[in-house]
Amino acid sequence: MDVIVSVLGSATIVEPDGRIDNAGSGILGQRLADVAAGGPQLLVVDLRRVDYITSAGFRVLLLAAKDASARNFKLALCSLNGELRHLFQIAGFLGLFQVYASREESVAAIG
Amino acid sequence: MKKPADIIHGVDDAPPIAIGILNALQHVAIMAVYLIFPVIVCRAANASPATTGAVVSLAMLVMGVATLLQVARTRWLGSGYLCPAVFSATYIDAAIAAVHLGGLPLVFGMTTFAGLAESALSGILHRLRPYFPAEVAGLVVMLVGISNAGVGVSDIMAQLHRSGDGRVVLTIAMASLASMVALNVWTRGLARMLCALIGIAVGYALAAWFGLFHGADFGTGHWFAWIELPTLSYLSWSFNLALALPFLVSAMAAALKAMAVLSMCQKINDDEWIRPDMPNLQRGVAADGIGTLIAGLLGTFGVNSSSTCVGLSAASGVTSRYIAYAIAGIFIVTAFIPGIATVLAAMPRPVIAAALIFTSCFLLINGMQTVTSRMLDSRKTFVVGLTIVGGLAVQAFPNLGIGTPAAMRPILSSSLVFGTLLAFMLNLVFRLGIRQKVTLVCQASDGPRLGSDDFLELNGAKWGARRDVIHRAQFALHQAIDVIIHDFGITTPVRIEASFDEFNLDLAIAYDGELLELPEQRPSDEEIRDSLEGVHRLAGYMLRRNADRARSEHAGGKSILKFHFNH
Repeated sequence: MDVIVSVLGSATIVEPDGRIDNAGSGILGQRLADVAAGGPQLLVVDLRRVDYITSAGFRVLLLAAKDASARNFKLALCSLNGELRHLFQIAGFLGLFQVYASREESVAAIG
Repeated sequence: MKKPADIIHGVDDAPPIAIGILNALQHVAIMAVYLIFPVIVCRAANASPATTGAVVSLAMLVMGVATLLQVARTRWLGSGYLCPAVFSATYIDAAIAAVHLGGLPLVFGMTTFAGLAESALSGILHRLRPYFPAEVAGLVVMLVGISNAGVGVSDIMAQLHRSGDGRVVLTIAMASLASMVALNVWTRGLARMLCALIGIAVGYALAAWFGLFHGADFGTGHWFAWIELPTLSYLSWSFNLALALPFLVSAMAAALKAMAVLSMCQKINDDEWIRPDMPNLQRGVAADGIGTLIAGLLGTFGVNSSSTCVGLSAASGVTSRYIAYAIAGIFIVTAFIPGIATVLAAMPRPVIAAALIFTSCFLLINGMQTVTSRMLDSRKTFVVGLTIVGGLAVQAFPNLGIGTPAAMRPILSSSLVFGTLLAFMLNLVFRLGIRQKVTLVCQASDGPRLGSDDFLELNGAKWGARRDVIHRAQFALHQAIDVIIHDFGITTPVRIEASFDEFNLDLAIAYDGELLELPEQRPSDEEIRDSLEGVHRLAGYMLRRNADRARSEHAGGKSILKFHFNH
């Protein structure tokens, strides 16, 4: 799985591409930790190119949320497609994160 | 049943009177467009203006009665939904064939037969589903669109050849069609909802401007009466076995369309809708069939549930049953006002052609969307492709039936009948060789991907399964394999078995190793974040919620995960 990191305004965008399963979550987790260590103001995980996410992937997002709380930056998710939203719903994760339609909307709302 | 947030007045709500009447009038305005179909059939039969007016009056009565039948909630009849009945393009080809063979009495007799057939079909609908999968049902709707457009274009061409000034005919048809399209694309609200009616009004105005109307078009005397019982003197019925198959195919097409439209009604009225309620659909299709039966007995033409009206109710947020009562009341009253029927009966032919072409666009797209809602493999590509080619061939070469046995001619003269039969037969033939149960044995050393990625994709396409169900099954496979291989560290082969029929998709994963539990309670965020066991329990929890039924068990020395998905 590839992870692209970019900047939009005051936000650092982390965009995984592919499946966030056991193998992919290791790569994503490492990139999120690296970005968090840099002290961002806002970290947005853009999920538009994610096929699906397993329990291992959800754990990585929870770890990122814990990091955000400890290091005092904001964390948001964006671009959940229909099937991904279904997975978030059945995992009980929809209410845990701030979710926006796009990265631009996330930055406008929080950044 | 849970009322969705975007529905303001639901099925059982009684809206304020003003809102109810306005909504009913909107539906009536849309439904009135479909009165062109009885007019088309009467024109093909060279019926007098008086007879055409009488047919149109009774047609309004039929639409009112059929709408009431559909909203009923009896044990055997009616879905209980606001799902108005309109005259159906599905019957055009068969009706025109009947007109040429035996005039209006044959149309009425065969329509009565079709109504009986559709009512009988409603009882066995669930058994027919494997033989009429979604791609075939979608093809049927597309063929209705193709045949409608064909009738419209042929009529314009015929008028161009006969008319002294083809430019007038084309101008009226194009202006009427352009008005409908422009209003539909570039306007909102009432103008958009009434685009077809406004386009028809534009056509009438232009026809009057160009002097296409004559006094004889409006009959004599009686249209000035305010209230009058429609004349029944033209009524008689006949039957011809040669047309049984075309009308039976049309009844089947109408039943399939009614099922699709009523499923839409169920979905827009229930936020928790997952799949169609079959007993409700059967009662709805039975009501649809009885509506056509009554139409035939009262000397009109086949009716069908209107997807346009259901779409309107979803767009307006008003799906109350009380609207159906108001619609029925309006049509039953206007059936006794001859002036309205007379004006509709005098509809200029270029305007009729424009309306046919306009409505066929929506049928074509609706059908295409249904066809592509399922996964398509090479078998289904040929079912779809060859059916479309066959339907277009019949449309392009109307003399295909010449020289063939008499029994074949009604089939070869209708793109709908020929195409539907072709799709049905091709679907049967191509089912040969499709295994409904497939197995994949994966080596753990291949890693989590295992080749299972394509397994469900390829087989789903062969089965013609719904994409959303296949995607849920793919997630189940990936999530389970992810834990089994990566976390449980198994090294022996994993056996994956999938079986499918039109109603069920079942998946079983068997392996040597620790059994993955499928808990009913979600682990806490802390458990998920801080322990591998929490991650496994989340995986099991998601697997259970993703499937319609799930269980994990030990059997024959193996750990087995079983998932069932309703299709």
